[in-house]
Amino acid sequence: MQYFYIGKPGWFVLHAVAVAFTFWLGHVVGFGP
Amino acid sequence: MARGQRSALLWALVALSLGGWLMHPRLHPLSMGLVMVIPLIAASVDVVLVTLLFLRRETARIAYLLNGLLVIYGITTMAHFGLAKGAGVGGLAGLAAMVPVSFILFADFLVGKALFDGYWAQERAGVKPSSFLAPGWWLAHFILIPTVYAFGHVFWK
Repeated sequence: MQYFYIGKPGWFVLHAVAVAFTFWLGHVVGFGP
Repeated sequence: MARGQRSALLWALVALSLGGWLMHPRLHPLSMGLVMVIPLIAASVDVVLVTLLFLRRETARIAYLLNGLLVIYGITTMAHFGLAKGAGVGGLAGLAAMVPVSFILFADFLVGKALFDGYWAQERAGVKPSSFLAPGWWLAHFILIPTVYAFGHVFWK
């Protein structure tokens, strides 16, 4: 059973966006060291 | 799942996320920096959008995914805040100060899981479970998301 089906291209695009967002979040949150 | 059980869980979800929304401006007012708007945005999404998506079976899986990811991002950013400034000292003591609030977020995740499982229990019966949204999937993302976040913080100056 699959809850979502986005295919392989969809999977790669989604993860590229998610990784870029998370990387950016780590950059932009300026709590300190 | 009985209707009463579902509405109790939905109210629990609203109470937990609304509690988080109300707690942040007291602890970290926006005067501490624009970054403090992030928990307000995340908690607003949790209170409004996740709750609305959990109302229907068709959208409950998106709600579960969104709710779980918000919990992971919440624990990640709070751990970062704890290490940097938690308990006024940062470091391990600061990180330890974030443990109680992380447990509240974990409870929020589990309430979402109970709602999701309630919707999908029948569909799952007799079907080989997908690895997607299973405990292993969540654990992997609970490790990978903070790792990417830490890389972004350390390597993108």
